[in-house]
Amino acid sequence: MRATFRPKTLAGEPVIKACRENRTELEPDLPRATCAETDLIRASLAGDHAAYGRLYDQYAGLVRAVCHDSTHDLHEAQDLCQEVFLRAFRNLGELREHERFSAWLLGIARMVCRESRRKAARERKRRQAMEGGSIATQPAEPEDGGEIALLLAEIAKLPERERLALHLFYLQEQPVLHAQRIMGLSRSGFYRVLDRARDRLKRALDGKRIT
Amino acid sequence: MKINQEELLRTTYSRFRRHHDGLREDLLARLPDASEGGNAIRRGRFTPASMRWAAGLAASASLALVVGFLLPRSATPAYAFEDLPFRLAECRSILVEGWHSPSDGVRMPQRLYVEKPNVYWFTTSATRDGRVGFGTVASDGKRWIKVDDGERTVMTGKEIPLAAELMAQQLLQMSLSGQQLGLNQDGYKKTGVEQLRGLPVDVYQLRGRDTRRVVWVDRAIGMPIQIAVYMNDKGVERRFLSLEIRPNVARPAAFPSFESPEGYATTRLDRTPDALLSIGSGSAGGESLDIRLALRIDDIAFLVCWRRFSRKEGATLEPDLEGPVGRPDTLRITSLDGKRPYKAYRLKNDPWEDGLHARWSLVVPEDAQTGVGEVCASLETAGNRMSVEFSPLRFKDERLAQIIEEVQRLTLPKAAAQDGILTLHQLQKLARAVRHER
Repeated sequence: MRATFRPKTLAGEPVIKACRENRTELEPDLPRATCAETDLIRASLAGDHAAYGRLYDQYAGLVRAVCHDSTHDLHEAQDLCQEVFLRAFRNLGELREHERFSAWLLGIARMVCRESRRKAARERKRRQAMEGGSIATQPAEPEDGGEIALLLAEIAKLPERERLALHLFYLQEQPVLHAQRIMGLSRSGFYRVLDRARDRLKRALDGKRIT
Repeated sequence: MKINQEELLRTTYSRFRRHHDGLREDLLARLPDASEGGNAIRRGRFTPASMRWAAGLAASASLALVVGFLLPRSATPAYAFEDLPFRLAECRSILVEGWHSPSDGVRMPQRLYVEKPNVYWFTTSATRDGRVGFGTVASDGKRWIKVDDGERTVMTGKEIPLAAELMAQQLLQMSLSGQQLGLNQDGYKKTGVEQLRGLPVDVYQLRGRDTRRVVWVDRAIGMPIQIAVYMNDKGVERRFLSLEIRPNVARPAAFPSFESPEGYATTRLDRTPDALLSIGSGSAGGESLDIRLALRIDDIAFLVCWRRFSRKEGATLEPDLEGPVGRPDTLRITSLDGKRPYKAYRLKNDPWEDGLHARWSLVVPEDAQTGVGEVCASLETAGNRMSVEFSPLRFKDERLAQIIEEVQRLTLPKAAAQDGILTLHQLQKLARAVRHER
């Protein structure tokens, strides 16, 4: 249906442009992002770093948010996000269904977070053993005002699907499309989960400082 | 009010785009070039990351003792089943109620209740001389009881809390979904959305040759809340199993009181360490293989306690007992489909109270991938093969470290020195060393 397309490997922009040009009337409902994304993946596979940078632009915020759910620390989430994208790049050749890139990427993010948690636990244990007892951990200094910290704490308590729905809505250009791919939700289903998340947040924050 | 929350949400989420350009530059500078060989993009069927993703999915459905799988990469993961056994294990409690129907018109009630850390209760049923007899088994971590309503007998006594905890985890991580619910199987497809008990649910189906499984998943919590299995019986489909699952419920009022029902013959039997360590056994050619316990180490290896012995003419033999530490054991371990081999390394043999030895081995996948799934352990003797299928249990590190030491103490005579006890930290280091050598 789509004309054969060979990505250029030196820059991302020609890839996107060519991709858009190659769309036909037979695929009118194919979102542009999908077309661009699959071709960005192909270009990245061919070694095009700029194309991969575009993918990073699209998903880094989401990956940081998912990592933050696990670490509760922005700097650590940023570090883990870099690791996620490095691993994803090295393993991009394993991704068979390019349309599932976002779900695949979040799978890597969850795995990297799990590994990080385990590593931190082992490190704590090792330090405790070396120092012959419990050690006081320094509480992380809040990077933001109290309201944001409070909101983040309440978001962290939401069920995973609701949290993910919020992340998608506030960080992705096409949240419904990604909700379909990552969460298997229809448009109405996605907004139902999102509304539930907002309601739950509102209830949790009612009576606290934020209303 | 809503506007304030909305504004705050947008402000909050903007923090995830902070320093984006600098981070982007940093990432692109670190990307390997296509010419960098091993560091460049890997192409091939499996790599650590992709395998971990697949293994994570496989682990999500690793409850089965009997039926297992390694998820093929081509399968589309069903979100609701991802990491399910461990999400189940994270619940405060789980209540499963329903029935199964071994033949048309016969319904046998089923009930299973598990509460963290060491409370469980389940129904049993057995057919004797054409009659169906029911029973229950329960423990509250302090007492245990087994009631056989068919025979009108009761066994009860003091519980070992760790025994009850391991049993509760076996029920959650191995038996619950694997044997009864079939959630460990590959190929579920989402077929629709419905309302069930007032909740929006996703419906998944898995069609087998003679069966059809339907699972209703609560969309809000991503947990299955109802399961039905249909069987094709001489061309007619009939419901074979119907179960409702309720997470985080209070202990049912009908939970056993640990008192014997009137008129039942009661045997007092306190739980022994021997009963604590028991996953499964197989035998062939007069020899026996017991798998007593298996615990995951960092999802890259597992510790297994096992025994191999034969009793002939009053004598007990334990083949292949001697040998240096670190030697590959005779125990053959593979994934259930036989495609993924593991290697068992001898750690030590503890002299158990009953005269036999508890063999402790560290088992590591032969490939470089992480993820430990369901396995089949087997031994061959004089042309006969005996095997046991199981899934190593997973605990959080803190608890795992305690369990590992506690169970080793059980396999040592009381007077034995305790310095031969391996710690979790040592096992983690060993597992990494073995992987690194490869």
